[in-house]
Amino acid sequence: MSFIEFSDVTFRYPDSKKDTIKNLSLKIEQGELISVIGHNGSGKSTLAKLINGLLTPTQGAVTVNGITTAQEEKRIDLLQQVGMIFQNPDNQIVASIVEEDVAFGPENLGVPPEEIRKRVDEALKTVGMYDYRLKAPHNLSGGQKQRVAIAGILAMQPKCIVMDESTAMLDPIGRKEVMDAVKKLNEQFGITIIYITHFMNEAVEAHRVILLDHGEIKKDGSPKEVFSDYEQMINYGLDVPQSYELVKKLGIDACILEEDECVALLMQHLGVHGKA
Amino acid sequence: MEKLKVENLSYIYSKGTPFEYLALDKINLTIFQGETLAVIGHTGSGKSTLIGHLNGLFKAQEGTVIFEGKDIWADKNDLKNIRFKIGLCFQYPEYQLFEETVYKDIAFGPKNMGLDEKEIDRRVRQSLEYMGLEERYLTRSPFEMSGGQKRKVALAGILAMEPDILVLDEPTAGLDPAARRNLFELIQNYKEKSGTTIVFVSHSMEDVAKLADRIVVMNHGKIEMQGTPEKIFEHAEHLMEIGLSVPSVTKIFLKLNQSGYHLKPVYRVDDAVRVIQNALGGAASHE
Repeated sequence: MSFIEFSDVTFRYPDSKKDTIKNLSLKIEQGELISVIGHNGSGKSTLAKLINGLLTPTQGAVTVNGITTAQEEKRIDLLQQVGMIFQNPDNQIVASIVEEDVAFGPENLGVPPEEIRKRVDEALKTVGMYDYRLKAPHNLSGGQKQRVAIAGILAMQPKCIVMDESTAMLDPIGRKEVMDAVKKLNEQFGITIIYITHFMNEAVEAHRVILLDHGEIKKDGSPKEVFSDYEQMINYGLDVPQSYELVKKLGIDACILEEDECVALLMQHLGVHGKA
Repeated sequence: MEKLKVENLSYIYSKGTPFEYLALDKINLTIFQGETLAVIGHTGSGKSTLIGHLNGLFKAQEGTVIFEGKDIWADKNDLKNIRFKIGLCFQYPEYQLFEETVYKDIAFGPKNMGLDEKEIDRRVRQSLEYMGLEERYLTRSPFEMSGGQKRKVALAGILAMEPDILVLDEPTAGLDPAARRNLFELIQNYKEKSGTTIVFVSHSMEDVAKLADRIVVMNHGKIEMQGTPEKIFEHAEHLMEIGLSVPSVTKIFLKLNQSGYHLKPVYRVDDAVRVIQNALGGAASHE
């Protein structure tokens, strides 16, 4: 059985006339770094909330590490395994000192105090916020706040973190800080990451990209597999990285998603032209 | 023609406390009639504090803001009018919708201006059209609309005051790529039709490159540089040093030039295509 499994899941919000998620099946293995893209209203956030049981399927079932999300009595276990980071950095900080905020989760789980101390310090070091442990969160930048929120999740030692457009309100530096922290969690601790984003340059950093449209998975594969059809991406209301747009407009038939790759290809293409 | 002028503007937060923070440091800036001016800078560089001064939301601690030749704080009773003339749209303006219907929400501004019903009606419909929304939405509750539509309604509410200067703080934050493209097209179209001067703050250099006639770069409460996008993005490396990103194509060209090429710096994909084709074509003719 996969770490996360969606079996023929349909979800409809109460009072809604249409399904937000339609007969969706999906398998995610432990340790994957997956980005989820799609236009507003495509069902991305709903998918995220179905993973940690904030929402439960109207039809079908979602299981995480063998726990069926609809099982009320297993809810605490589930929330402990799947942490979620939301969009607005100001909406998810609860304490007036950084380290107290990070300790909030493990405290509620009944972790012994000396163990909490250890976890909080380690979590803050991992996201590069240890030096700020005694600061007030409201004085931090957006990117710093989001990293504190990530540390708070990390201190609960989850197996999976779902990021729901967690970089949407950040500036480019803040976005990079968060992305770097997330990649580190994935690489060093094998935490499964589900990364919902509108920024295509972030999406292509994942190992696997899932494209949602009207509650259905339209594409699921490596960044190159998903982005290869340029026109289709635009039609789905998405962007492609500028590297790809440039190559495409030059009439070169290659799916180039990263800048360095693009530079190498252009050097090959230009040869000595433009050097004089 | 000079529309708005900021002279020697300084602003300190929590003045006189241990938390004193110099947000604006002797800023001088001129905004010209009809231009689209982008303000960029990392978080905490003073962008929002600066634009808050443009319509007197902040009172200058030092320096002056001059609108059409007159200090906006010269006559306090006139400040209300200034705020109608310099329309400020905050980040995530959809959170500020409050009326029962879209119509009432858009009409709120013009109503406060003391306009008659007929004029209000004209403005509501026109603003709605500028934002690409159909008239059938007018009777709906704004809270039943999608996020992108809500934002358009909020913006329409500002356009309905027919401001001389429209100031937008991160107008496309949080929107998906298609919605972002659409909103920018609408803003551009509005600008062409109305001739309104636009000042906007953005983190997206790709967007700035597409829309702005002129860019102001803020850093630590000061204006680090200002000029046309062409001029500004020539300093790509410096922009990155002060914590800003530059468009992806600009970076690609920078790397090419570091590897021995001599290509003209670019900031838009279409320009990049042209430069590369020229390099190839130009050299080919010598062969």
